[in-house]
Amino acid sequence: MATGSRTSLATVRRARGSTHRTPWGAIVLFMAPAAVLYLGLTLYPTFMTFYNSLNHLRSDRGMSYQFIGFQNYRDLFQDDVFFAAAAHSLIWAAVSLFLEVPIALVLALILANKIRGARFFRTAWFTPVLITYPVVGVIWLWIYNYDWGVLNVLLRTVGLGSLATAWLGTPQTALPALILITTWMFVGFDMVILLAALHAIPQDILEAAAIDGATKYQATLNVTIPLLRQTLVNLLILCFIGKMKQFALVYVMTRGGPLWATETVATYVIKRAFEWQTLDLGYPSAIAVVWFIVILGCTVIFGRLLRGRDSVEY
Amino acid sequence: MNRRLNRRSLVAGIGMVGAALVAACSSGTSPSAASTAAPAQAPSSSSAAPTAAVAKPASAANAAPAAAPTAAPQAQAATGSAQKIQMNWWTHGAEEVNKKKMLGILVDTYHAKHPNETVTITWTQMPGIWQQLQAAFTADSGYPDIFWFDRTHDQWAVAGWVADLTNGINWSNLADWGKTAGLMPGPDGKDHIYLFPEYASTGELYYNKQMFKDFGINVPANAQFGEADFKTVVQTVTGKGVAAFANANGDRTTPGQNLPTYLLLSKLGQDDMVKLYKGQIPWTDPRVVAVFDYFEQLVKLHAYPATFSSMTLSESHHYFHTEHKAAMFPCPSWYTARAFVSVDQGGQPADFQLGFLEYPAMKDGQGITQKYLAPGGAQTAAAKSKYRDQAIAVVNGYTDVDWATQWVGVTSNPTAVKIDATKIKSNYPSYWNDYFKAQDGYTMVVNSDPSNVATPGQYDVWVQVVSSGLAGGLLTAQQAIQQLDAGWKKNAK
Repeated sequence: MATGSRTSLATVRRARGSTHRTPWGAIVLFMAPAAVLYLGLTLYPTFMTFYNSLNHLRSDRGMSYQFIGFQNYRDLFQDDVFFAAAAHSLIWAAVSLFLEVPIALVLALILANKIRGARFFRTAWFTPVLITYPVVGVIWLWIYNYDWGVLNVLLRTVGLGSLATAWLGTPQTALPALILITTWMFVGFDMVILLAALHAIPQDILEAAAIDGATKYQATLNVTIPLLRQTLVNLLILCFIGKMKQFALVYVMTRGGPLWATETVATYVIKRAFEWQTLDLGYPSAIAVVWFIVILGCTVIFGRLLRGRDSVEY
Repeated sequence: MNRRLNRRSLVAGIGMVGAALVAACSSGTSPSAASTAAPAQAPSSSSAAPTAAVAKPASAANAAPAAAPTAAPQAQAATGSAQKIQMNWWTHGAEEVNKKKMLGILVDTYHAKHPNETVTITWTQMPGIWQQLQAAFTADSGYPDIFWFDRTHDQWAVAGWVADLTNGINWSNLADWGKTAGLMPGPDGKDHIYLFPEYASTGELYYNKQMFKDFGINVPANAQFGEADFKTVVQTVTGKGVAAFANANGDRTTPGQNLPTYLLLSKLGQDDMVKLYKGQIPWTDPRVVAVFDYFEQLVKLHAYPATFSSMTLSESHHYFHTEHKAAMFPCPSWYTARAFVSVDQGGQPADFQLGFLEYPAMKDGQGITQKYLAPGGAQTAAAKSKYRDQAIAVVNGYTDVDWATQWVGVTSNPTAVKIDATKIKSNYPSYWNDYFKAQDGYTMVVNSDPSNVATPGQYDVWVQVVSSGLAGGLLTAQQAIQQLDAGWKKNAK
């Protein structure tokens, strides 16, 4: 039986080969633009960054290369500022996971219940993601201003003036202050994605749960949220990757200060590449490579831990 | 067979396209040729004369040569040719209306003399301009012919990106320090002149005369308080609910270091201070410890505004002269660029009584009569510009004595050009009298601040620890010294 099957399959393949050839020309034609872009703008720069990290690369000498092996990596692992920056980036990413997506989920669930003014709230909560980082930075610089910023003015107004502080000028509050901003920025985006996912859940599943006696709370907890699992995992991964690469907001608002309290890996790479005036791009490349591996590793682990084996279909 | 061939051709096709792309990406990075200008004889590095910023009225007769600026020979040759030349100039100062006006005049004058040449100025701001310039030079394309430059980017001179200005600039029209300030090693390792000081910047300690009077503070005849008296002044001022100093680090890394650098200069004197920044004297030196302890005491008196970390430079000016929330403003003499404009543009109110103090004299100080002098900003030309010599000729426009005199009157910024101070037409004549008086008896210290002497890594530590940590009250003197000591050792050359 098995031999017979193999024979018939081979016969079919031969028959196809004689009459139906794969159109390689068209495939090349259609794939080439995407392939060129991917090779030129992703693979090649990535490969070059790896290669650069093994060199003393002088940008002032027409990008002259001096191979130094893993010296940049040895230096990196003795660099206190890098470890501080890595810790800040990881804290930012980790804290955002527990803030951004859960808040977005709550907001999405509220809006999905067709509350009054849902359209307005959806737009209002989504708007921050449309504003660029530099503008967001300036807005929040005003909000956090010690003298006349809204936050301190509010605290003083309600009699909590003793809590008024230089939010960005104090190492203990600077990083949390920045994390709050990215949360404000991206909650709306996550909410819209979750809202779309919520609308895609067939009503009959929820109706079946209701018929079985599930309360609205139980249905949400045991039916709706499990059905959102894939979307939530994707959002968590996107949130994690985004926060591990934070640069613009820090650059606009604190430039890594005070006392390196908001230094992230991305800002440190830029400082080492362009502000230290060593004109060596090898060391910053080594930082970028290490961070690329860390993000990739974390993303893979995350994906495996969170996705689960059973996919829910409806 | 056919299928194999087709697959091969697919791989080959993609490979060829990829290779072409790689080749295209690599082709832009031709080795940069080092500046070919002949090495110049290094001028004396001794300190400039105390009155170097602007010639005083008393010495005006000697100090104001009426000679017209000498344009670079190549530029003169270009004048005669019919070739159309377009030059680009990137400079900091987008916020400075008076500077814009004066550079407009400079360019117009140049255009009148060189009808075939056009100079287009792109106004931008620091710190963004540094990244823009470095990106352009690194890419070896798109860089301007003339650009804003300073000593903290001296590696650019080593890299061969900056033109040697030894020839083509009428240096005889400048005070000695103007030339010295531009000296730095080039690609050949020897010192050449790589920048032209746009204006002279002396370290000043401005104060609100009326406020001092109201608080009952009497200023000594020489305008310099001793260490203990100065602390009492700070105590008095902050006791009235006003900050002592209007400095803040909101958009700059330097304001927080103005006072501590001066205290170090006062205590150690130039020679030992440079040794300290070079790592030849440890940060644990008792004199340094004394300075930091003293500075910490001032900080603990709430000498700096509560909004120290977020207030910008422009806001600091307003805080000082309009809101009267600080009694003193440690600021280089470019204070006037922002203060001496109309009130609606953020300028100082007409009735504001601006005074000059000298920085406090530290006990047993070796540098109590020394004063920082630096180019407040500088211009230079690109070494590999197609029109390098013409670009240098444009920069040479700064040496025109008449233009420089007008520059001082309009921008209220001192100049390195030797001008007749009596010819300054200024809306603030009393300012210049006070300014010259404040320079009397002081030796100017050039190229000696941490950004000039320390390595990039050390300077980063300095900025974070001193300008942000110590001045911001985030670190004690002892913690700051420990961090500086560790940072200096770790980031030594």
